[in-house]
Amino acid sequence: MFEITPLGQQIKFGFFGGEPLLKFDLIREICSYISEKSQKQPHQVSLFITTNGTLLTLSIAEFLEKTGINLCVSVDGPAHVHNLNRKFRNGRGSHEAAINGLELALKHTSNVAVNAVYTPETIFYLPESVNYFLTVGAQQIHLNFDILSSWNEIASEVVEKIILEITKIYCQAYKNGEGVAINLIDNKILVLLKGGYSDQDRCGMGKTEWGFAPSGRAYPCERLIGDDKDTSLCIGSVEQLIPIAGDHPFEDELSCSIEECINCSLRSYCMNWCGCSNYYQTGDFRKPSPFICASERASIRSALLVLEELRENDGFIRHIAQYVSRVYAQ
Amino acid sequence: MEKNIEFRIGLVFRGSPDEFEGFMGKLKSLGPDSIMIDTVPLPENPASGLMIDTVPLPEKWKNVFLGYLQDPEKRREGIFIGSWPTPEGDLGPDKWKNIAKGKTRVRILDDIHGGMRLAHFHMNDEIVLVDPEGMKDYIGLLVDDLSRQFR
Repeated sequence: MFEITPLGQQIKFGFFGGEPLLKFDLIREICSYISEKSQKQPHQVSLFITTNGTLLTLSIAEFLEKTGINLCVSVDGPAHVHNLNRKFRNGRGSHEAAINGLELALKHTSNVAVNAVYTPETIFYLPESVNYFLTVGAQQIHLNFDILSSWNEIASEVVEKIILEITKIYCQAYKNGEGVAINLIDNKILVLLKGGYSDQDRCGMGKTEWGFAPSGRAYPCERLIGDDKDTSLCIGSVEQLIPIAGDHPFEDELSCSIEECINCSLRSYCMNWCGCSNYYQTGDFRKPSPFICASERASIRSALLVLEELRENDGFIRHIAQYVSRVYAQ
Repeated sequence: MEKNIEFRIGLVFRGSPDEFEGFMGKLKSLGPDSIMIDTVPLPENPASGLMIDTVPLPEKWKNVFLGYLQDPEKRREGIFIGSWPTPEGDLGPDKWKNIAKGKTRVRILDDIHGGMRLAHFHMNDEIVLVDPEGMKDYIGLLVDDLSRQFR
């Protein structure tokens, strides 16, 4: 990574799972190696970890803070939401352990976000979950749809209504003099301010971005690893990456090919280029599903609503300024 | 002669915009290949890796934005945005000129590129610094423009 990344560009290393803290000693070893390498190379490095929080201890939290690792704890919402999909092997819900981990992280680390994955079953609880996160003190909230679920039964009007409800919570937080960062909204605000996604924002599947499974196999995106059993998407190993070229299925993954997208007025602001989301939803890296389209439309319109409503709100202006500063400073 | 020495140094400038211009002129005389003040991501740009740290600015601009050089292709009518490229709809030069009124400007010298750690946009050969109030103006104009586009 250090050898192939152009000087001046940032290298991001992320630990995810399964559950990465099952191998905390290995993570510590890798971080030490990265630190050693980065002192000899003029690259900026950022590290992040996504954990279910159940194995988080004070000593691990202190290590993450000391090492400057950005922490993301997966909690889907209050217990009745979280426990629907996140259970221990014995069938018991993991909410209590996860929320203990999140609270420990909020207390002992300075950069922690909550990662809430929603399914067709739990999407209806999202506004409730956002309010729940705010009550436990988590102000950085990542809402991510489960790419492996089938979303065909969820109507676009439903998606729009739910995202609008979240937008109202977002605006109210700033009107109350508090703050919140929600990826669905903030990402689109930044894209609107920038004038659209740039080439650097788009997927670098297999070219500047790789996912490595515990087996050592490499994939063009961490979300394509799955259970590491379908190796048709494998692009080599940690020892030897296969360069992406020619007729490889990811070669042209950035250009969306369907006519509705080409003629859409929101095209510049849409993530229709996210290859892994498209692949899991439609089987085609270049074809977004109706659900993705509805989500993107709703998020873009919500971002505009926020800008309209909070354009004079000092707290919001400060939030965007600091957020952008952090994004580009990385 | 083989280049086997690499010396890196952090550098902070404090002074007026005029002094900064002179300072940048001196840096320019060293040539971009000689300078690695800090790094900024400028993909496929020959100036990649060169950063000028403009710390000596009024307190209100501290911790505001980090801008980065945009693709020159995106320049339109002599105006383009450092941190914030103009959207497809474009605000038009007159609106940008209004936002720029009364704002601090720094002239860009040839061959000196980028990495301004503050919100700014570019008007011809000048950087116009954007404070939070200017940011509100920008958001207001942008919202009007996008509302027209989307509705």
